[in-house]
Amino acid sequence: MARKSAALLKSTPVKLSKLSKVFLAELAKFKPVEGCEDQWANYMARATEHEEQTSRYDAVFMQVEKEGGSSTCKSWPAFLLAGKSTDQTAKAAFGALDVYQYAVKHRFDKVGVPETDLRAVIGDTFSENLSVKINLKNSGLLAAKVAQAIRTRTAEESVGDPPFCSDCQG
Amino acid sequence: MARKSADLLSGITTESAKLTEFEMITLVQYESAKDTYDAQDDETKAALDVITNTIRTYALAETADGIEIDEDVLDQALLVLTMQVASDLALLDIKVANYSFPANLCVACGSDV
Repeated sequence: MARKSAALLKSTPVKLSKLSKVFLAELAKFKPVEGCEDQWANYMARATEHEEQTSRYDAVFMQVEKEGGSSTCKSWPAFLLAGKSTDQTAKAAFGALDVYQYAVKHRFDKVGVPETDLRAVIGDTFSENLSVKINLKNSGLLAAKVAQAIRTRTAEESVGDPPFCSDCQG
Repeated sequence: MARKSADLLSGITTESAKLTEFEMITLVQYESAKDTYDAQDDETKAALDVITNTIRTYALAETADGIEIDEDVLDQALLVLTMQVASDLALLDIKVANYSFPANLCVACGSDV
């Protein structure tokens, strides 16, 4: 039910506020640092989504006000839902901005192996059924953090033949 | 009431047995991991320390089942995990600093070769 309402809310046509329009127009004028255009484009998309969501939230808020402004009014569930969605789009927008800033800061780093490749292998290690499995709060995010931390200290290079005992050889 | 206490007691016993098993397995694997760690050069050790410290920020001092463990055991488990990461990367021809496989330890089970 909540998912249906959320989808409905997202598909509702939205009229951006004047402030949102000015903000997005200013963002559009910004020239991203060379090599980080994709990250900036991603941030622009997330920021636009957030501004649209904020406008939806404002529209539902006005409706709630018209209906008396109490938690018993008809639009109250939609208002709560809009609040949650606005929180999510805000987080996504700020997260995308962090990604852009990180890309700019580390654009000259000498990267041995791409982070995505490292993350995939490390993620598999964490998710394997290790006998010494400890509680890792968020293994997906942790794999990304470890990959980020060691990416400049790695190289695509053979380490040689791994030693196996006779039982594990096959 | 007696049944409830018996259930509770059995829960504690199971948990304590699981913890003991976890500690023993961790200790055995830690010894292999420590040997491999000690055999690396300083640059590699520094890179491995980065991995351990990053994992530490996300690791809780408990098993995946939620059983609390000592900090010492956590340290051991973290090194095991770090060496497993380095070994898995090496198996796919991704070298962390100057990492080298342990000369006489099986990379799959840690037993002597």
